[in-house]
Amino acid sequence: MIPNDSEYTEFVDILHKSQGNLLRGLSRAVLPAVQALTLGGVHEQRLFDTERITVDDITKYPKGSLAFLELINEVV
Amino acid sequence: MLSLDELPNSLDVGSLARSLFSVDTGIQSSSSAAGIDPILLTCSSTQQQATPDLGQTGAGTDVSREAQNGSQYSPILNDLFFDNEETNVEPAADHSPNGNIQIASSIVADGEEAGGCHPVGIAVQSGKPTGKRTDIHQGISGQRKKLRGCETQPSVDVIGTYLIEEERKCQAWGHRTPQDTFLTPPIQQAIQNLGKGKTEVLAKILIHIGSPCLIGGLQDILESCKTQERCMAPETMNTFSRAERISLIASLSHTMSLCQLRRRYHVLQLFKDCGGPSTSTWGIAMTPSNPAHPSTKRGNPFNRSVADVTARMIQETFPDVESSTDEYTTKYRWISYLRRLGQRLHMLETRFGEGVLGLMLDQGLAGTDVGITDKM
Repeated sequence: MIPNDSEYTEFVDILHKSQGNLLRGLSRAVLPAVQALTLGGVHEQRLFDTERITVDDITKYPKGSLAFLELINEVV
Repeated sequence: MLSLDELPNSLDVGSLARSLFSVDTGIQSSSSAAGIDPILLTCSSTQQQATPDLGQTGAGTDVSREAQNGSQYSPILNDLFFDNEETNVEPAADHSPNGNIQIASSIVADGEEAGGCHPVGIAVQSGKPTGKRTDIHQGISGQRKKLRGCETQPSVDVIGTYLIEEERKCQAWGHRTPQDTFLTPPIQQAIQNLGKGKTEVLAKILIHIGSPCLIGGLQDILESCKTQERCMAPETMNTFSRAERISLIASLSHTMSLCQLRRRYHVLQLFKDCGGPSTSTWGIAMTPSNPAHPSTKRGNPFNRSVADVTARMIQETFPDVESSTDEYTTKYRWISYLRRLGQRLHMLETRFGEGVLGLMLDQGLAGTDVGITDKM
């Protein structure tokens, strides 16, 4: 069941209170990749150092780990 | 089904196959034995494989060791990634699973509700179905029983199951648990209060948005675009080996996810182009454009402004369709759906930045059950 507009607005407020800074930090980190995928220029983009970090490694990180954000930022 | 032995000894294909078949190994039996829905555990099962000291057995142990040995962790440099004007950050130490301490801070304790510590036991309590739901399950059989492990689980089960699995990762890293950061009991309660039947959808968004599994999916899409695996010629597909076919399926999944990302991007742009942002907040929508001369139109001003955006979208998209026709009604319904989706994406973008679309893909890494659909 899809929430109505009022419920969704309240939900976004909850999201902001619970993890607003996290999402803003991650959003900044992945923005170049999102822009590349939506507007073009994919070949120059990457999120992780894929020679060091495998998919399996990524799944080990807890959500919100600064170490995970570091992985993204160090190649951006 | 395939066994891993049938696959080439390629790192990429092997890794992919492990992800794809993780539910066919000991993981499935262990989750079933624990009475936990395997669907809900799919992502965390993959994570569990890679987490040390969690009692891995059988095939899961081998995979865990391999992943562990092959992983390298960069040292964490600082804790200055956030402006933190409203952050309640407590210094913490992120430990890598291989025992190396990495200096870090939690970056999620930014909620006003995140101040207190809460007992770990809350996860187990949260994992219990409500009494009402339990009664229903005990009183039915046959076909309806099959629904128990699927989408009819109350949202509290989604949160509880997630917390149990996420705690294991947090322990391995020395990271604060979600109950102490972004999923505190007050936040859980606030989600529960949003409305019966809707909390599960919203709880999943709250849990999955920005998760490593979803951001890893973004990386998958990038790599897939670069290698252009999806451009394989159809005439060669009949001669595919099974491993090649698995790779093709994964590549097609990446393409689908990319299409969904681009679709959301354009839905959002359409909403902006049609003046939608003025309806995105209640404060703006409920304020008359000229307080001295309030509008004399009947009805809720917010609903009118929403209808105006929808009408503007239709007018610009289908200028020749008469408003009194069935075709117009059909198109109005579709455009209304796009308007609502665009509005909700815009609210997220306004709060969390333009990159937020990359934090909420419809599917994450292969073999995981993490994803955020358009039912938001």
